[in-house]
Amino acid sequence: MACLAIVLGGNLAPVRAWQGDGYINREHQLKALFLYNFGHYVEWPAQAFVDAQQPFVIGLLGSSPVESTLREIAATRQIAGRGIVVKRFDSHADVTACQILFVSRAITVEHFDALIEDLRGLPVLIVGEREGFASRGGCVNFFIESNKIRFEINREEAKQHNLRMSAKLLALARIVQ
Amino acid sequence: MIFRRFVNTAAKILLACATLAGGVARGQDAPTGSLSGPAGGTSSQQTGSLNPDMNLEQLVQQDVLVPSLSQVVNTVDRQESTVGHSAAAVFVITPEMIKRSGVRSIPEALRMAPGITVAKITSSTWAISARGFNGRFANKLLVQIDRRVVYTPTFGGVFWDIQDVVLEDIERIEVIRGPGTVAWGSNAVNGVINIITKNSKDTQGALVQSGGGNYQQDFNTIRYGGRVNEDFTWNFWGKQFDRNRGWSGPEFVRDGWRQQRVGFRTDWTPTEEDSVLVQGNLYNGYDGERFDNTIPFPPFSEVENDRTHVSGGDIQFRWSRDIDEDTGWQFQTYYLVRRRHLSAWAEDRDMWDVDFQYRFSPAEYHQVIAGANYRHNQDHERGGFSFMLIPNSFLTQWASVFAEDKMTLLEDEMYFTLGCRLEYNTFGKFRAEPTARLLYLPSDRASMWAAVSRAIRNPTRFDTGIRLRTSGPAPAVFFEFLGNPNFEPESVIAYEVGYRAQPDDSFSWDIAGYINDYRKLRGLGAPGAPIFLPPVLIPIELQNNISAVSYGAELTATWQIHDDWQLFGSYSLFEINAVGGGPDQFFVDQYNGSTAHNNIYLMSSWDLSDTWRFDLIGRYMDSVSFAGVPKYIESDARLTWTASDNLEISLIGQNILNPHHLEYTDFELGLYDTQVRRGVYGMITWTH
Repeated sequence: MACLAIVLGGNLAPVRAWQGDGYINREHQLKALFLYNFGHYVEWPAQAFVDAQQPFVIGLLGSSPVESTLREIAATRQIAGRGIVVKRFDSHADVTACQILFVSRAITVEHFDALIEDLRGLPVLIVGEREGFASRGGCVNFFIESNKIRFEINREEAKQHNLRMSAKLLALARIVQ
Repeated sequence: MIFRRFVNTAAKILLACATLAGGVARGQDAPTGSLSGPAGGTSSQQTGSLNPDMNLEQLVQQDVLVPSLSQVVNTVDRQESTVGHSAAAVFVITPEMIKRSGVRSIPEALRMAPGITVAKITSSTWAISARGFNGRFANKLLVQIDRRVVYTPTFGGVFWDIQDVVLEDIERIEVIRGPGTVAWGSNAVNGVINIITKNSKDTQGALVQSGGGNYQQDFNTIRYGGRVNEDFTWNFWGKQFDRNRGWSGPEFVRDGWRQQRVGFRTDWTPTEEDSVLVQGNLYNGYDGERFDNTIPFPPFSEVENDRTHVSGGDIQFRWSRDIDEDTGWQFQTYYLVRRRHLSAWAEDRDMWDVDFQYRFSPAEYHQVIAGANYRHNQDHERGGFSFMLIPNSFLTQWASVFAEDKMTLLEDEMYFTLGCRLEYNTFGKFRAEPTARLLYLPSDRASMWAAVSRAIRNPTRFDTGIRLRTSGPAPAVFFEFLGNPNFEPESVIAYEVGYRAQPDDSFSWDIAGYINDYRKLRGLGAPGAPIFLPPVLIPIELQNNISAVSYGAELTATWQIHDDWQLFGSYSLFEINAVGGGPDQFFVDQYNGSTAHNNIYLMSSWDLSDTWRFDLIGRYMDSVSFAGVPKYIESDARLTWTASDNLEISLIGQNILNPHHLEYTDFELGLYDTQVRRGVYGMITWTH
């Protein structure tokens, strides 16, 4: 068991110590786990999927260290009985159908508006990690507070995308307009 | 329990006192500004590991930054583990520490590691060792970059001037004090340093760095990383620097130096189980220096102002397969070329190394790792009257096998490791290097360990074939120090203990102690009958006639005083008593006096705001009697402004307390030492 923990830990936490002497920064590993978890706490409308076989797609816009952890999760886990596929989009123009779209820090604020506009009304949970992302039209936005990953939710935007968020998810979030 | 509380408190007080005494002002750390302490909580010993089945409530409780006990290391026994799970004196230098310390080279970064003595001889020459036996040609420390051995087998030590990578691309530097011979082979007698660079998937995009100052005259780094697809990433890089000469008063020794280096790295993950690494680099540079060279005619010694031309390259291939959590293998091979040319001596060599390791679990509670290594080093030496190696062309080969079993005695509580390496080298027979290590985890916030190991330092070309002539008791009379073809391996039996704990979220500390019993250390035999050529030569042969006992301890602590302020400190103690040797006590005196007994390092990392950071370092190094170096206190400081996500501007002061200070001298080959000058430089880093 201990060995398993070591190996799992190793795989899920490729060391990315960039902050704090003698500390490991698990920000990206945790964010990947959050993204996977959102799949369980958000309900997508039926039209989000063509059929029961269609996988659950998590899209990543812009390069992010979240990707490697997310791929490991996708390889062994499911969301609502669907296999998970991780798709990486280099730019806004490449974005194709997905249920969750994670907009990495690499994407700068200037690109937000066009992106939000393009996805308006589509059943996609748009998640970001830059200050003000939720109030600029994102559904969910990560931030760090007291060494914990926290997230804010823009309920109006989520409704626009026909997404139903569970009470538990909303209870843990900071709600923004 | 009371004891533990006592030691925790004591350690805290020690660190606080040391901080005040060192005059380190308030500083701090943690760039995102909102990060406080470490983790813990419900997870197992592996606070660094994450369970993918955690639900949202659990996730929001997880700490982003978790403390050092869960820092991943794999130098201890070639398998991924954590500091807290290591039965060895492990220390990890993180990229953050490298960045915030403002260092520009690997030797400077190693000053942060406890138990490692770093002393500069000239602008481009260092004496670096673990747990004693320091010197320009210190030979009991194994240094690797991405598992490539970088020491020079000719003398078993490291030419530090040519060890370089893009500092921003270092993932971590693992420093292990004490024998690491089971995992890494002979030479890892007193320690192993493993410099690990980042996977190219983590160095995507562009990095441009440029800077300069009075000592760091100018330096530039460019790196660009891209991808063929998700499973195949690459980067290439180039860097260059010019460093000024040290201080030498009116003597004006020109020991400035410059170097250029280019490299690439590709990482390919063809399947989920496999990963393939190919990387390489080429370098070229010149080191200025001045030394006394012995000549056979009057005045019998002359001063040489020289420039060493260094060049070379490495190419490395590694294929790893991880079949499941207990099973996997790794194959690695690399080839390197090294050239070092100065007027009195020149060396060309090439080395080829093949390494295979296999890990598996033959039975419940047993995790075994085993492997084999072959190394082939062909050198071509050119010497002269003063110094040469006999014969001047030589092939050295090494072959070894090792196995190690980590046994779980009590799940998540007690582990026992037994391992052994059998090694053959051209100069010796098969030698066994065993180790036994016990690890006990009294809680998920503490670990204690003890180890007994036997390690050897294999004979080198210096030991077996050196011919060094220095001026003798009268004009035209020379001592001739000669290698010994029957030189035997030096050996040590090392007894080590350690304890590390993280009593609360903001504080962690680590202490390690050791007693090392050395046998058959290199010494000088009795002078032989003079040879009248002329000149007159008095031969003195190297012999294995010294034994020594050393002991010491290293204490480190990290204290997150506030969200924005972190302190790190370390203290190292070293004592030794070497006896034996012939009438000439050179080596006995050297072993007894070449390493500082006390060494303190303190670092304060302070986030002034979201965009401004201030770091301050204080260093104390005890006197080094054999090298004639007085004790000194020095300080480094760094101020950084993060102008945007892509741009960072720093101003760094190095060795700011004194206009210049002496750190070390070369007592072996007559190199003119220079002193370390106060330095200031500015730097701009742009990433995209």
